[in-house]
Amino acid sequence: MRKLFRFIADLFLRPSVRIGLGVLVTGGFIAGVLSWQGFNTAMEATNKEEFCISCHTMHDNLLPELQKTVHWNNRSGVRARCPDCHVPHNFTDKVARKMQASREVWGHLVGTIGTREKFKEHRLVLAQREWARFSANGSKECRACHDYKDMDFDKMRPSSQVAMRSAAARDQSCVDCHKGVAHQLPEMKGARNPAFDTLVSNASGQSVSAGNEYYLVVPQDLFADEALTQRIGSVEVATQVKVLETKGDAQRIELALWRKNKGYGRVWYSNFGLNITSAILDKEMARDAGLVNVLASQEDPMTGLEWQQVKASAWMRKGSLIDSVEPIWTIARASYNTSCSVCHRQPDEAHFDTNTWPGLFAGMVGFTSIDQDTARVVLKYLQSHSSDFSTSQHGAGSPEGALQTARP
Amino acid sequence: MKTQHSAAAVMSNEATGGSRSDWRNFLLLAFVGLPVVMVGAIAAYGFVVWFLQLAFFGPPS
Repeated sequence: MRKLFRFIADLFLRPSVRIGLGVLVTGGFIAGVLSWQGFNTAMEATNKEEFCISCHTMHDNLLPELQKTVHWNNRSGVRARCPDCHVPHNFTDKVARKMQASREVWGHLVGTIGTREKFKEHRLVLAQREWARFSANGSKECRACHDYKDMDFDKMRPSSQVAMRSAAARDQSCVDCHKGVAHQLPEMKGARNPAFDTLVSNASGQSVSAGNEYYLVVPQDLFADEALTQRIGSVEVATQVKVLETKGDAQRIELALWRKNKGYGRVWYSNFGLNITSAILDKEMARDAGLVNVLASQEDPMTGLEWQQVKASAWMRKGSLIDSVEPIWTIARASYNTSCSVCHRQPDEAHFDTNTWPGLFAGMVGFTSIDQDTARVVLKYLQSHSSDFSTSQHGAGSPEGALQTARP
Repeated sequence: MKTQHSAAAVMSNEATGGSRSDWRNFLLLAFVGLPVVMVGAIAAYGFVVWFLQLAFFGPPS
């Protein structure tokens, strides 16, 4: 080791005796030119489509998908190659991205996404990573070809104009709306909102005492027995329940809700006259007088339907209750604000009443990437903060009388 | 003087191994050593930027 240091020190500090200064400088100059050119050639070679699809994951999965899209071939003969979209164009970010690819090389060696099935399984994570990159840089790579300042909005279809003009005004990232333009979209079915993980871990640390009221952080199945074998229905997220007792892994809870006295009365709501779904019982159970205790009946003047105030107790798995509903609403609010504002300014929660929100929401949710669990929470959030519950201007057309009787 | 000079030359030739080893060192350094160091430095720079993105800055804007 010492010898090596000595050698390097000599190499740099001791002047050459036999070789002229000009020869050394010229030689160094040539070596510099050659190595920089060699470096750039190597950078370019790893930035070619041939290089990308030389790995079979890319060749078998992504290439055939790209070949079906307008980015592969089109009437004008301009096309996008892999690195045009997926490698940053400036030096620093490009080098960082290339080093990041060491992870991909590792994945290739280990075979993390070696088959089509494995690839599909991981696709959502991979896509979300790339979407996050595009949303952080405002889809810079897309805009190397498609920039707002070069667009002639007048030549667009009128319906496109509306969306594109407002997107340009907000300098919106292309991929916010245009997901899946060059590859198939991942299946959103298995998607999970990571925000819920914190909530669930908070809930597992929540100390629960009998007789107090709590809120569900995730939907749960309801059972008739403490062993949790006989399922009688399910209770929705953010529903308020009263804990009666805890035994082992099971918890007996009391539901105090409302239902329409029509059909089996399976669906239970949190308030009189308002369709905020809180629990769904099985058919036989919903009419079982031993289980369901009807406290009161009242007619809803809006619909002429009779509503019953009902009470029932059931067992469920413990560990999904928290003492405040606010953390759940915080997640719902964040999701509502980001997902809906992508395409339009989201309406105020209190702009519509509780029974209007489900129809509106069902019509819009398909345009977003919200997963099912989050969608249920967001809908419940909107319903629970609708004009029926708001004291602001928007509350004008709400069934005010109905609410007063429902509230304690 | 002359003898002195040649003696010094002989001494330095003995110490360094002569002009032959000078040429060898020069070529190795210019065409192998420094290019390797350059590539290593750029790779290290890339990794540092990536790790900073992971830890603090998030994806580049």
